Amino acid sequence: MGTRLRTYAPFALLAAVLVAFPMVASTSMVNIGVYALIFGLAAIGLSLLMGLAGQVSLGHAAFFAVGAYTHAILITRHDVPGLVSTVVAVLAAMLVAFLVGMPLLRLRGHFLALATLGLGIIVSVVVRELEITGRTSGIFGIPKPEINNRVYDTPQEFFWLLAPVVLIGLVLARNLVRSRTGRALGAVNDSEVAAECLGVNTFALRLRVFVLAGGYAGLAGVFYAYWLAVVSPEASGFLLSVKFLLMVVLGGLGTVWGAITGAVAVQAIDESMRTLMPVLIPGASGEVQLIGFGVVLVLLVILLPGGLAQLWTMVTARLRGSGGKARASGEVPTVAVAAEHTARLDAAAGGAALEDVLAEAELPERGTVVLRVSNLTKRYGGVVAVDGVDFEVLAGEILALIGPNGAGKTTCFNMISGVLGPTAGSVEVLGTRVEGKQPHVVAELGATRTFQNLQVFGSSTVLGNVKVGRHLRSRSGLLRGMLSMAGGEERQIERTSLATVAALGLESETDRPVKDLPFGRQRQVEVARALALAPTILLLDEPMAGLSGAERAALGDLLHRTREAGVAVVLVEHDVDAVMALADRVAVLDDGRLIALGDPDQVRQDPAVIAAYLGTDEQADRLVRSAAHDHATGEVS
Amino acid sequence: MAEQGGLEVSGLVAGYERLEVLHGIDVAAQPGRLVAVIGANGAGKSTLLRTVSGLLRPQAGTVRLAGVDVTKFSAERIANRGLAHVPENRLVFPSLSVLDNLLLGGWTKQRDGRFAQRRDEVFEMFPQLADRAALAAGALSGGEQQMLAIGRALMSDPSVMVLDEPSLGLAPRVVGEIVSVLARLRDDRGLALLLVEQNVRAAFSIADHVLVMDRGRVVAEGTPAELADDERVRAAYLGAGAGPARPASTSQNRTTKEDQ
Amino acid sequence: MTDLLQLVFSGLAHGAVYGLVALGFVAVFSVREIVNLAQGEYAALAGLSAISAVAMGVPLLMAAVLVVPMVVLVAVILERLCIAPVKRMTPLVSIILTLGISTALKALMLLIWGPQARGLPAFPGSDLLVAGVSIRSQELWILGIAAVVGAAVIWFYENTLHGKALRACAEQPVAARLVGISPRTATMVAFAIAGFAGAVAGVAGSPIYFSSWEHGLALGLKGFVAATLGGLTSLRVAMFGGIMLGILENLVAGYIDTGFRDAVAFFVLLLVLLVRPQGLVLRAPVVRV
Repeated sequence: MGTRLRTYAPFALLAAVLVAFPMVASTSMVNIGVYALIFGLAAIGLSLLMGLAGQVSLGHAAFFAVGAYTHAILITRHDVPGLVSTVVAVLAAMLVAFLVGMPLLRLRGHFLALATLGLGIIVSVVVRELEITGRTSGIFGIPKPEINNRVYDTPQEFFWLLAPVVLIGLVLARNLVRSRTGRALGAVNDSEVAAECLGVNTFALRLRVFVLAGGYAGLAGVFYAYWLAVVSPEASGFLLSVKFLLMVVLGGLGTVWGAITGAVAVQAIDESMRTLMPVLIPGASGEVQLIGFGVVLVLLVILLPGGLAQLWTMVTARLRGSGGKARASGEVPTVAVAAEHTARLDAAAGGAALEDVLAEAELPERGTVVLRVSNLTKRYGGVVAVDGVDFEVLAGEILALIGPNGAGKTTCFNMISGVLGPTAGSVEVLGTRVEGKQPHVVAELGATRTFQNLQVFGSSTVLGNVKVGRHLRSRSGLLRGMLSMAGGEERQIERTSLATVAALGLESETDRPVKDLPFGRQRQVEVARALALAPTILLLDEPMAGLSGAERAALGDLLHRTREAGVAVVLVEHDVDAVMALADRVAVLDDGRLIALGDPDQVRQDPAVIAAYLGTDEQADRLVRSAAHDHATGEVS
Repeated sequence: MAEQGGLEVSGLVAGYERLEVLHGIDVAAQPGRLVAVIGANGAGKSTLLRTVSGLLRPQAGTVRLAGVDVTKFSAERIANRGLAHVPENRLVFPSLSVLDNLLLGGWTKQRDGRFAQRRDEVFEMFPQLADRAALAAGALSGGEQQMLAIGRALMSDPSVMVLDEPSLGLAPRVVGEIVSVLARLRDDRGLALLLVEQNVRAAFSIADHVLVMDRGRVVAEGTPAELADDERVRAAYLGAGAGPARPASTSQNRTTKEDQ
Repeated sequence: MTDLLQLVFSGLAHGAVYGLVALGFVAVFSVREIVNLAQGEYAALAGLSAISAVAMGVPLLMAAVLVVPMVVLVAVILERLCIAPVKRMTPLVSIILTLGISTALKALMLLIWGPQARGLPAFPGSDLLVAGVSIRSQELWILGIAAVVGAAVIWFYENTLHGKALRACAEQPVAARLVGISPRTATMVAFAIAGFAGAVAGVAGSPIYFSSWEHGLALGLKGFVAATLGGLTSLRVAMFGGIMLGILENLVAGYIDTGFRDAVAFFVLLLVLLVRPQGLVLRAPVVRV
């Protein structure tokens, strides 16, 4: 397996460096190395949280401190064996992350960041105040780790104890990034609503990564306590949180490797500032290295937002002479290239692949009611956007929802798919009431959707987008992902995703970043993504917009195939003629009310529909002309 | 043939991030003329206006305003030079009153002391706004917000006005009212107008010249009469094989995500 | 009862300082959607600079008045140097960036003034005793200054053309540019106001609450919590929130334990989250799908 070799070669190289380093470096250098590894371990977790889940924690030292203090207390006061206390300390850090994450992770962006900053402060207040944590003086006399009567007390020894732990931590994190869970997290970061509608339980996923990041920090805290033999409130300090953040940003957001390179670089800055500043400015004391941190952070954001990883890609690109633009945080190819090729051939060979994908859904018999909407109502203040709408959708039919702007079509979709909670009324998917439920619950029942305002996963490729559509059709979780034990499932995902990509005629775009495609193609990616889920109910919001005539015809065929497979298709569309040709039944919304529902011919003749929506050509002409004319004559007279 | 006071765009190439949306557009609007651009969703009409008014930096091509090359100017500088852009979805300042919206519309002319005069002209054009001067703009109906957006643009006393789908989501009666105001601005004030519309009928009813855009290119142009039965108009707008034009109120809001 | 009144009154003055810092958060956030983590640093910088000026022989009140424009200048220069060049300002980027600014400022203050906290001499006036409650003249100064500055900032935003232009930038940045309002200028003005509010808070509060290099962090966080109560966009609620927070902190310190004073803000934040779990932003980011 040449690819496997290529994947793990950098880790082998790192392992070699870690083994050799203590033998060649001076003791003080090794000492710095020990700190870099300890903090690097915490930074790996933070890197997952920030780079993958897009969430910032400004109080990461809190988890570090929980780990360090728990370990110190257990080992000094209760004589718990080192290994046990390590495990308990890590679990304690994860527990705190879980308890804190429950309320905090409902927040986004600025609020989450400031809340974690607050958490950091509260933990440092608590450890300073409590008797059990030794107040301001902390806890002393933590013994050095001892395994098989070997005491790891010199920097060299401790480095060798720590290195394999960090290496394993790094491999696990990297595997996670490339797993099903990592893919889903990336999707959540790009478009939370789209990920939810494909069945990703975004809250649970965020919480898991938050807890995992807490665990990494807790473990780092344990090693910190071991190494220093003392735990003081400094371990919970704001300075340390800033340091972790800087390591991640300096190394490069979105790469777990960055956490390690960042840790080494930050530790180097730290040491050099501490020796340099008092020389430059006599009498400087205290945490003077902070100035280096602050300046580096600002310069990074302005000059090198991708951190050292960006620098690395730029340099290697230059060396290769490709001269191409370095991608700051490009999507890593998810599966080995060789496997990709064979899978692609397979997909091309099986012509009926889309039907195979759709058949996974255990579709109900044609004509069964799969979606029932009753008295669906949405009010915003005094405005009624959707007013008591009732309709049913049957398996194996295409129902079109048409109506003028602001009629409430998209609002209906939002309430059916769980994006919005209705003010009143009910939505039943396959007999289960789903109104007010989260979109991923609706998706689990088999109903998914596309979006009028594109919600593609912009940091990924076409294939990467479609693979997220397979989220519900695969099972591997966080742990299996970290241990890289889902190879068979990954190949399956690859195969079906490629088949779906092909069904939309997107083969030539498979590995292109989705952001590079024209809007019409991006829309098709959304349809492919939704089909990859093998839905029972497919909700399409203006799928034809931006497509050329030929592409529309192809999409029409595809929707016919989907219907023939037994899927219920509901679509909102403005191209009335295309809708009339495609749909089995047409529902017309006007001003939030359902004014007609029937087969296309019935609806076309319906006087209410003509009055509210279709109108007659003469009427519209007269209105516009007379307005212009009135005015013109007014001016003359 | 740079016209004084007119807008002249040539070879415009523009887009978002790595995605090129416009692939070389030429369009000119002289004073006292109304040029309409029609085309389906995603044809690049809004991108054209956003590039013309400086919200987007073009990758190639030039934009000339009253004979001056403004291609590299920021949106604020272009506004200062007499181009007013009535944006898609109106974008009135919702928590500010109607009067404050107009006040800010005159931002570039805040020192010429003619605010009251221009305000009265706007109120005369849209009497409904006068009645609601003290009301928060967010509380207005869609049609009134559109009037306010046009009124706000007029407060800077522009020589060129570009409008992005002013008929969007409005009742035919209101569309008629707005169309008549546009005709008046062209005929009485001699404004150069560039109108982007999906409402083909409304656009054809007042345009002097029409361009049909499809996926970033101009695929046809001419007078409304010349284009009325053009197959390309229907193809570009309705998609191949579509029946007779039925364009009234067929557009839907699109994302207007802002690059800051 | 006297205890309670005493705690409430001294909390009032403390809270007014938070309120001023909160105004700074709102001023910036409402125009650029940036939570400026360096907000508290403006206060620390102003306090320490005023102390040095007094030490150099500048009369107290003159020092207090001179320091404010200096900090405003610093705030604007930092905005020009660090915020303006960034093209894609996501929440993550803005947090990292302002954290960097805040950290560098802290370290700079540490280098210049050293680690120990100190206070500006109290402004002129004599302390009072009203109904058993002792009122320090500095507290009256703080309340008076906060009232005047708060009212001035609110008046600026609500009644002047330029204030309305800032609000327009916040509400519809694109439309604001289209009418010719420069977002660059608007951001600069917003940071100037933030620097102003922060500096006033720092100078007025210094005689009682002291100034030190690390003072800005806690002050900033509390200002943020107060600003959050108003959804980060309401100046009035931010000011009011600051005052309530100051009183609450004092009550906790007085009746429970002084050590936990600094944790109160965080608990308030959590509490608000539990009551309004959908988040606190009044002007929620519009996600149309």
